[in-house]
Amino acid sequence: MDESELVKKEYVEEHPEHDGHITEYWLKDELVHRSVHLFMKKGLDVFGQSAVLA
Amino acid sequence: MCNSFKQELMRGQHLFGTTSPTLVSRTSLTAPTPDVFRIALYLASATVNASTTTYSATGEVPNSGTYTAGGSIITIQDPGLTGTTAFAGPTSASTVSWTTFTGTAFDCALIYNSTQGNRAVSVHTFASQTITAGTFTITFPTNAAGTAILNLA
Repeated sequence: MDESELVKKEYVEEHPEHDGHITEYWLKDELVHRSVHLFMKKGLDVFGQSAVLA
Repeated sequence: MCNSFKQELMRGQHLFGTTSPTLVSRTSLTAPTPDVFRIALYLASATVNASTTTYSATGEVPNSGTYTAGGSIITIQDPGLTGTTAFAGPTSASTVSWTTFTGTAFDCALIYNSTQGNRAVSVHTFASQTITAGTFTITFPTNAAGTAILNLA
């Protein structure tokens, strides 16, 4: 692989409960590397609720 | 309900019932060893939710790079209490990551107690992620009331 041909792309996917910082490396039209750093903003469960005791 | 009770629940200081549950020994009753907790990743096609009772390899992301079945250990700090909310979680902004990892369409993390029979603690979903020969990192939220991984309000 000629690393000089690699194209780096970085972007952020925003979400109310977490942001994803994405790093991609492309060789022509092929994705050869993708890393994600997920920043959680708050705890949540699958139903988006915090446990609540009545 | 007493606010201190919520925090004490997280510390395992109350035992209800008339029968004894089966517990893995914490060595000492006066200075018990905290349980070990782990976080595992699951595919978007998996069924992992509030009805989940224990860790299962079914639907878990396949082994890749530094990710192996069962996921990774995370350290839960001493539970806190602010106002009417007890909370617990890893240190604010601490991270867990897996390198040289490839995983496709996973959207869920299960936190479970690997000391006590892999009992499920909580399920956390996020936008479906795909990693290609890279690193997947989770930075945990601020460990405070309302933002911590676990809140009892």
